[in-house]
Formats: sequence, structure tokens, C-alpha cells
Amino acid sequence: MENWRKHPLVFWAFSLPPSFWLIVFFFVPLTLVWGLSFSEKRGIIETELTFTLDNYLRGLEPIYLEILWKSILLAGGATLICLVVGYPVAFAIAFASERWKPWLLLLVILPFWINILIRTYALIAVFRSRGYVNFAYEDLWTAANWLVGLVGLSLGERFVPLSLLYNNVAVVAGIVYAFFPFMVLPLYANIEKLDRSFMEASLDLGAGHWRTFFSVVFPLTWQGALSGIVIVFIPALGAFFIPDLLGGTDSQMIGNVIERQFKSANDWPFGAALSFLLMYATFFALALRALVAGRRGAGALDA
Amino acid sequence: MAGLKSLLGLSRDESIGPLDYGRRWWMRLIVGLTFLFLYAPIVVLIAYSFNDSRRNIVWLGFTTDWYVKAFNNDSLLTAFANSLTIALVNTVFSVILGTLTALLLWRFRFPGRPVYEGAVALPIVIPEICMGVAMMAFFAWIGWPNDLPWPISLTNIIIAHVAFSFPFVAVIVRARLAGFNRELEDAAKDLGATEWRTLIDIVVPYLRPGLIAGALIAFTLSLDDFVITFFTAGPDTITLPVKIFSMVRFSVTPEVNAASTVLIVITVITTVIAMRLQNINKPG
Amino acid sequence: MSDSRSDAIIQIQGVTKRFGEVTAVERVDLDIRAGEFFALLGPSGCGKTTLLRMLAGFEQPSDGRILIGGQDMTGVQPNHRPVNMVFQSYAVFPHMTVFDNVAYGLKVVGTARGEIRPRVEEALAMVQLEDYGSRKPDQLSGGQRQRVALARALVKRPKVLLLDEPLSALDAKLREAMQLELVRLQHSVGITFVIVTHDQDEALSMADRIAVMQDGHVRQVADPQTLYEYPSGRFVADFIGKMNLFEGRVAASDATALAVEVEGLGRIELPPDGQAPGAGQPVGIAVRPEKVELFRKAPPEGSVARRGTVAQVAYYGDVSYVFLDLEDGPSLNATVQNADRAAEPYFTKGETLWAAWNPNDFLVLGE
Repeated sequence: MENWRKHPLVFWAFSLPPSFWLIVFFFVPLTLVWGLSFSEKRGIIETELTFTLDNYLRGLEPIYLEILWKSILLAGGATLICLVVGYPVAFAIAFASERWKPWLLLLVILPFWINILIRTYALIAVFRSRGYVNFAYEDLWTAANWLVGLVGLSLGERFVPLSLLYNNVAVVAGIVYAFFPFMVLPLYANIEKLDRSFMEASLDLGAGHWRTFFSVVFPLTWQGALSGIVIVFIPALGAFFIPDLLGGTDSQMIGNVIERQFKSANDWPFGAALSFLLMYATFFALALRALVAGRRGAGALDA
Repeated sequence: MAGLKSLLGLSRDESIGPLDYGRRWWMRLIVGLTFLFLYAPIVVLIAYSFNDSRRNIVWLGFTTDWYVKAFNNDSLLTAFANSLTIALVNTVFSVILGTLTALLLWRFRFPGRPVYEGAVALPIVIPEICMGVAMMAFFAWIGWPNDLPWPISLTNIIIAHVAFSFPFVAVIVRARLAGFNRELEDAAKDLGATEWRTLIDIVVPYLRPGLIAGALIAFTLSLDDFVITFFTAGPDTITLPVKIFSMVRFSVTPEVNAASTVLIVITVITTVIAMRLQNINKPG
Repeated sequence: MSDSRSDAIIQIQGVTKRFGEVTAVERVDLDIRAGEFFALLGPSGCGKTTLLRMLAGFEQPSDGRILIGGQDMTGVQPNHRPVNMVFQSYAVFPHMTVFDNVAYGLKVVGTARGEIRPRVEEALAMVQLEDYGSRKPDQLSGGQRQRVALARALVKRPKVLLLDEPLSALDAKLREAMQLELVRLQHSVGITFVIVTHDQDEALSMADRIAVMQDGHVRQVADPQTLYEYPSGRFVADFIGKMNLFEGRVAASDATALAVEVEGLGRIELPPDGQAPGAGQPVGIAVRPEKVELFRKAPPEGSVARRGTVAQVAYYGDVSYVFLDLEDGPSLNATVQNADRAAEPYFTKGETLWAAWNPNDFLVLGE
């Protein structure tokens, strides 16, 4: 690496175009929204910067506070499921034979490259009352009904399909479906580089597999878990079309409110404040992760 | 039967060591169910794009009618053309800007370098909806006209796509640069090459797999993007994902499945090629 | 036979381990006696580590069985075996203090709290780390980390302590000190030690008995001196120490005489050996370099003596290796003690000398 002063012309040739783009088409828009979050609405789309905190305070009204809380619950629940399922999956991949490993990894990564919207739509088709989950359930129900019928009992008059869609459970399932690969990859990376002899030593000293997991494996791989939590939780918190397509009337998340403020309610300052609440949460999560990852000195782009 | 048993980890032919987690039946069950959860919906979606029934519910027979129908749907075709145009232009800009960023961070020490690194990574990490509304507000603020002729009308979407795509390209190109032997550069200069010639003759050829991988990633990111486009697009600049979104909201017909399948096939192929090139990138 | 069984703490019976197509350990039978310091010695890939890992329970034998303290260990998980291991990488848990590392094996089996502290302190004292309990592993040197690994295993009071290449990560000086330390420790705790090593000096200097392994087979089990002076075959002879090996053919073999026709050395008369192959059979005969004496004048009667030219002298301080080209072709290595610093002149390149040795020092090696 050399000092930029040695070749100032080359330096500017390299740095100006991306910097221009980044500043004008990313930081200016963000700053604009930040400014909006302290503005007051004057007419249909006119706003005035008055450095008011009203927009943020409005976010603390019970109705929005409840949505905020629900967003955290849904996103948090989905993140937890990703973590709990992600660990065994990451384990299985890390301990798979060399022949299987790349294929299992590919299978985990591939859905990530399929459009998230299409995947959400695909989920609708299997979850709805006339979808495959209910078909399988109906077959089971019919078979079970025939079995109990043999002893003169009945499970009921007729099959009642499960309501798998348009509720909070569907939203959580949708988030898990969308972001699961984000959890597995950092977990896998951390388990893969964990020295196996730590686990062997723990077993050798008399600990069982669960004890080994909680006393040795988790403490030595939790940075991967934290990375996974951050990169699942942040986008999950800002999700808006997943609750829109899979949720019911009470499955509104903060993303839906933001979208409404910008797309239909036209209260941009309030939408801006809510979207910056998300940004602050993001910065907090990233700072936390950076703090924990600590003095490893890796730049953001090396991550 | 023996093969099935061994696949399920129930075979006792080979002794399972205490750390052979990948060979325990309950681990395989979890992994199997996870993959079922991840893939069954996609497989069903693709299968039903060939189903000879309007109502996506039971299988009535094989047909390619829905593809024919989708290709005769003007608004779907327009959306597809928009998506491809945006993705292609986005790829060109993103590769140039991303490569410059990667070279800059690889080559120079300058004040504020860590901050710059963080700033470039920011579009990757912030929630998409925040970026979406920021872009929407920005174009409203500068008074972006809604009645521009095609393809100029797509410029605002392209601008937004480049803003989040080029940092990804920068990451990929930088990973490739990490394996570059700087003595090659010095050798070229020692032999009398100028800065510019060294870049073109030595660095860029070495970067080629990284550049192609970066280009494919930028292409896929743009083609796949829904959230940011949703906030940036005007009524006449619909892209394929946005079109699919509105189709899904109105009615679910196998036409959507057909359009989705086309998008899946394009992105999966592009990505697999990009990942293969990424693997070439890795040293050793 | 029954005697050796009764005091055997480990009985390895017909154990084979296959990894897919590769056979790492093949039909090994081995008894390890209670209280001995036992070494598994061999080049890398000989199966010694696999054998050790089967004792610890990290691998299950594909065939055969292992008994520890008379109990069949087939299917017994590592956490239920009465053995503990010191890992090559030490595997000292980096997120726990030294004290917690040593206490871990007691905590996980529910040892009473009041008992843990004194036992951990005792174990730390045993490895001279009394004052390091609150340190984290990254504040320790490699040698100290190894002591933690030792204390952590010994605190469990195992029937057998398994050590996987315990000294390979230490520098030469520390390694020598640790060799003595390990022997001292083994004597004081009286626990059976089984050590895996590829370093013959380590095995010879520490172990009571050594099993030399090659290609998954045990080639010889013996005490160090027997192993060195009476290797059972070519592999052991060549692997342990330095050796001059010549190819020959048995000329005469009966109860009273043994003679071998050796290429380049001619006919050599050896003491009679009941186990030597019959006449006409190909054999190797070997002699250790330190058993070869060099003379400027004619050597004494009764020894085997040949003339040769010094091709090279390698000086090592305490000894020098003199490489001779014998008149009839083969080359010979002789070790010379540099006992007298005033001894002049040293052997020099190109000089013609007599090399002589006692016929009793010859080893006859079959196939």
C-alpha cells in the first residue's frame, strides 16, 4: 500500500467516480430522509425542516409502539428459529464428508439467490387452505379417522383445513424462509474453523454432547451466531412485503407502516422518522457486532 | 434398502465416531426437513407453471400454455424488458465503480480510509426499505420527471441499483485482489511500463475472473431487486419483480408461476457461473 | 501368557480400523501393563494416532475389541471411558481460566463443589502451575499450556493417560526438559501413560516399553534397549537409530556355525544363531555405526576388518560421522566419539583407514 500523495492523479481517478456516486446517490438521499424525520408536513407533499421531534414522539404512540413491539417479536422469533435450526444444519455441513460438503453448502446458499418475493409467493401456494401442507394433513386426517372409525370413534364430521396463512405464524415462517441462509453461513464458517480437539477434549473429560455444546462449542462460536443474528434480524425488522403477503390484519410490521406513509398516507416526515428508527437499530446492532468482533482489525469490506 | 438406510444414518455397517454428527439420523432428519422446507415450495411453484389448470391446486396435466400466455402478456413483457435493460446498464456501471473502489482500497493509504471502507459497505447492510424510501424521497426532491421517453425513464431505477450493487462488486474484486502478487506490478514498471499500461496489461487480466463474477452478481442483484425498485419505479417503469408482486396481490394464476420460473432460471444460472468463478479466485 | 493378561490394563485384541478404502490399523494385538510408560512409535501415517484415538473412544474399531481394566470398550463413548487424553494441540479451552479448564472434567460429572477446589489445586501443584489458576490460556506459553492440559487430564485420576505427540509443538530445549518432567510425573502418580510419538529419541528416553508401528501393523514390542540392540526386522532396525545394512546370502547355517556371503564384504563368519534362515536364503546383515571402530594401523585379531577411504566427515560436536567407501564397493558409516579435544589429527577426507567391528555386533535380518 502506498501513500496517495505519491500518485495523486491516479488516486483521484480511482476515488472520484465511486465517491461521487456514493455521496450523491446514497448519502444525500439518506440525509434527506434524516432531515425529513425532523420536518413538519405542510400540504400534500410539501414539508418544512423545523427540527421537531414530533415524528419520533408519534412513533411512541401506543398504536405504533405496539406495531414496533410486534415487529421486534416477529423478527426476533424468526431469528431465534433460524438460530435453533441453523446450528444443527451448520453442524451437519461442517461435519459432512468432503464429498458432500460443497453440495450441502450450495443447497443452503441457492435459495438465497432466488428472488425473495417469488419465494414468498411459493410459500403461499403450499401453506394456503388448499395447499400441499393441508393436503398432506387431510390425508393423515382421513387415514386417522378411518383408524379410529374401526373402534367406533370419529375425529369429527368433516376435515377442517389448518389456517396456515394470513397470521403471525405465517409471517414468522416467511421471514425464516427468506433469511435462513444468512444464519447458516456465519455459523458454518465458525464451526468449520473450530478446532475439533476442543470438542474431543470435552468429551474425553466426561462431558456429554449437550454439555459439550453449551460449555465449549457455543462459547467458541457465538461470534458466528451473533453475526447471523444481526444479518437476519436487521432485514427481518424492515420486512414489509412478507407481512403484506403472508400476514393477517394484525400482522402489521414497522415496514408496512413506513411503506404506507410514503406510498399512500403521504406523511413522509413520519415515515422518515420510522425508517430512521430502523437505521438507528441497524447502527446499534452493527456497532455491537464490531465491538464484540473486537480488535481483529478486519475492515468492513473484508468481512 | 441398504443405501437408504445408510443415507438416513441408520446403517451399522460402519461405526460412527462420536464427532460424526453428519452421520447421526436425527441430524440428517433436521437437515432433510430443512431442505424440504427450503425447496418444496419452489419445486411446487415451478411444477405448477406447467400445470394444465387455471387454479394452481391439483395437477391436471402438463402444458406450456402459461409460458405462451406470459410471453403474450404485454405488460409482463414490458416489465421483463425493463428488468433486463436496468440489469445490463447497472452491471456496466457497478463493475466500473466497484473495481475502482476495490483498487483504491487495495492500493492507497489515505486519511479517513477506515471510514471510507465503512461508508462503502453501508449500502450492503442497511435495511432495504430505508434505502428504498431514501431513493423515493431523493427523486421527488430533485423533481424527477415521470414522462421521460423509454429507456431514459429507467435512469432513476438504474441510479438506485448501482448505488447498492457496486459495493458488492467492490467486495468481490477486492477478494480477488488480495491474492495478487504486487511484485508483478513492480516488475512491469521496472520493465518500463507506465502506470496506465501496468493497470491494463497486468492488473486487469489478473482480475478478469473477479470482474466477471462481480458483473454476474451485479446483474442478479438488479434483476432480483424488488424493494428498492418498488419505491423508485413510476407507473410506467415497472420491473418484473414489481409486476409479479402486483400479480400476486390481485390473483394467483399459473402465469405468475411461469414468469417466476423464468426469473429463477436466469438468476440461478447466472449465480452458479459467478460462484464457480469465485472459486477460481481462491488461491490454491 | 496368563500372567501378562492379569496385569494388562489395556488389551487390544485383533483391532482393525478402516476409513473407507484405507486400512489405518490392521489386526493389532497389544497388551499394555498397568503402571508402565508405553510408547507407540512410528512414522506418520503408520496408524499410531488412530490406535490412540480408538483407546480414547474417538474412533470405533472396524473389527476386534479393546478392553480397558478388563472391560470391553466396544460402543462406550469417550465420556464414559476411564482414560483421559493430552491432545497434540493441547485443546486448552481458550474461553476458560486455567482453574476452570482443570475443574471442567470434575464439574461435568457432578463432583461435589467442596471437593473440586482442593483437587484442582493439587493437580495444578503437580505441574507447578499453582499461581496460574486465574490466567487465561492466551496469557500462557506453549509449555505452560501443555501443563494445563496435563493437569486437566490427571485431575480426573484416569486409569490410563493418553498423550498424542505431546512434545511436538515445543522447541528443542523445552522438549528435553518436558521429557524428564513427564517421566517424573508418571512415577509420582503411578498412572499408566500411553504416548504417541514419531520421535525415536523421545520414545527411547521416556518409555518402559515401545511398540514400533508401520503401515497399520505393530512390528515389534520391546523395551528400548532390546529394540535398539535386537531389532526384529529390517524396518525396526532402520527406523530406530542409524544402521549400516548390507545385503547377502546365507552360505552355511547350522547349530555350530553361521556364515553369510555379503556383497562387497565377502564371506563373514557369525556366531551360530538357531533362528537364522537356511543356507542359500537372502538376508540382510547390519551393524550400528558406533560399533564400528576406525584404525590407522591394522586392527586387532578376531574382528571383522575392511579397508576404506574417507569420503566425508560430518562433525556434530560430541560425535563425528565418518563415511567410508570400502575397497570393494559398499559404503560404511562409523561414529567416532570426540572424547579428547586434544586428539590430533582428526580423520580427513581421502585418508585410507581400517574399519573393524566385533562379529557379535552383527544383526541378521530376514525379510
